[in-house]
Amino acid sequence: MEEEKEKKGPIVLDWGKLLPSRDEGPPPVLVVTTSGQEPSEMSVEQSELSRRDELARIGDKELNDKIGRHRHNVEFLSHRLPDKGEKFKAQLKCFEDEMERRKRRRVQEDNDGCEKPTQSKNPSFISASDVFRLEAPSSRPPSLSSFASSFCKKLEENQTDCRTVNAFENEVSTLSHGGQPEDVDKYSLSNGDRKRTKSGLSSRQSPFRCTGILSVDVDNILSNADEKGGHSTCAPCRYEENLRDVSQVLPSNDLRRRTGQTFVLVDEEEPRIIDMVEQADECLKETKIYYPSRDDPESVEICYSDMECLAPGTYLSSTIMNFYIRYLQQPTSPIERAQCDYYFFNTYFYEKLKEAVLNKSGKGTLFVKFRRWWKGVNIFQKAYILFPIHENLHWSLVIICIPDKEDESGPIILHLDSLGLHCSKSIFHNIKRFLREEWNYLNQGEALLDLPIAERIWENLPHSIVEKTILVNLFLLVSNLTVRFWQCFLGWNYA
Amino acid sequence: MFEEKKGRYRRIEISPKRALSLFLSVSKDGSEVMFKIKRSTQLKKLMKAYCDRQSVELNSIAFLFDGRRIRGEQTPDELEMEDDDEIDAMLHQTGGSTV
Repeated sequence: MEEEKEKKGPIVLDWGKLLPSRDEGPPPVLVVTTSGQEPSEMSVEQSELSRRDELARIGDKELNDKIGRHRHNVEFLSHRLPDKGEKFKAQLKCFEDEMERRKRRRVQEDNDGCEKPTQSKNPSFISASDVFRLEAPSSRPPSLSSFASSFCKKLEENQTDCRTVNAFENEVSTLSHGGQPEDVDKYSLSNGDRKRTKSGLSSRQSPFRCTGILSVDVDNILSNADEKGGHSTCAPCRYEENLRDVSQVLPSNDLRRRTGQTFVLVDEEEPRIIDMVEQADECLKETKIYYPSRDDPESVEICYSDMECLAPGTYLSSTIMNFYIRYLQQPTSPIERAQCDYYFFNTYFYEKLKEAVLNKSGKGTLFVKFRRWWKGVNIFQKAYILFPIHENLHWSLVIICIPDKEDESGPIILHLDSLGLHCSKSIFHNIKRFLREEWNYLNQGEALLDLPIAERIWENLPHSIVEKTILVNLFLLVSNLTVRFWQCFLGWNYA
Repeated sequence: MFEEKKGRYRRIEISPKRALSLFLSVSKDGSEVMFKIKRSTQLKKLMKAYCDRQSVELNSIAFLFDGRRIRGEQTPDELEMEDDDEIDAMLHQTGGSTV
């Protein structure tokens, strides 16, 4: 009893182990075959063969488990068994060999640079061919689906060797749903239901087998294709092949095979590539970049789609304006930073300025808050203060020129408007109030050590402000900005 | 009894200098909305909450702190925000002249 158990044990135990761990049971046929045969009747070759078959179906994890289990058995049980655990040792060796073989193959595949994820999804085709050599009926109903017919048509268009066309027709007929439903399920790669794939075939748990054997077996399969009345193994093989480098799989110069692959490759790969390009394009449009760098506290965020506002006939957006404003202020050298004699506020500045100077209640605190916009900078020490004004879907520009110490005149406010759309009067009024507030604030503090402007003018600053409206063609200015933007974006050196 | 109470009150007074969360106000066109936010929370949460409340699209508004545009992944800590600081919510502007 014990001996019988020992002989039968591994196989029966295997299934017991395998059943709960897989998502469906093994094919009943196989169970019958293994358990129905008397162990004593089994020849050495037969048992070896069946074991190999079995091993092929076992996943890596299970194989590892088995090795562990058998090691344990050899260690602890062998002295109790009549044959001193010879059988266990032999099995253990068998498992270890299989493990080693898989490892080697995987290394080889890695070197070939094959696509793992794709392969792991596909059933292993070597045993598919084995099964089909045994099981494939000699003839099949030659019904073709639309896919199959178009597939064949494609082949006919380009192929001179009619033999292969016939072979393909058969292959394709098994792929089509008009063929044998069982087989269709086994080989339709797009079919989400993979449960059936495993029945009678090696499971996806040995995912890397297919390609390794493919290079060896494909000749075999192809040569058999005609005689066997067309078994469908070739078709999945071809799918497999087009995912790999074709030349690697088949170094032979067999015309029909090469041409056959080319079609599949074209049909299969092209749409995918287009998809990827489209996706990349979408991604690119949403990708944000930070200028001058992500770490810069004053960096501006911009994305590809923001550039759309630079197209002719479109309105300039504040995002692109602010980017350019930031770009203009980016010093090209540390020396320039020290010499930077202008201050450029962003597009939102004037709106806040209006809020700050027009607010009647608690004006003081609001202005103090507003001063944080140019925190740490004495704007009167700058030669120019620039900011855009946005009102009524229109942009104009204000430049405040702060006089030098030697200058006799007071600050000059320039308003550059291409359409004369913005009311210069109110703008001047607001800016004057803003300058007076700032001037007041600075005078409140401790005495200024270094007066930026001649003392005589500074003392009477609010009354010495000069204002000028300039009706320029701002469009030229803006288009000039646009050109410079493109130059900067494309990395041209602006001279 | 009274002493104990007094002690307890005192203990509350000695609060850590930097509270875990802070109050920020988002102002737009003079109207303010108050938010309480953790110092380590990304400000995109606040932005989203504000936009949901005001029923405006997130990408139609620029949030500025001290005149600098806030990025979503920045936190109050990063920007050295303090209690009662104000964030400006500004509508994106577009403009131009057709020629």
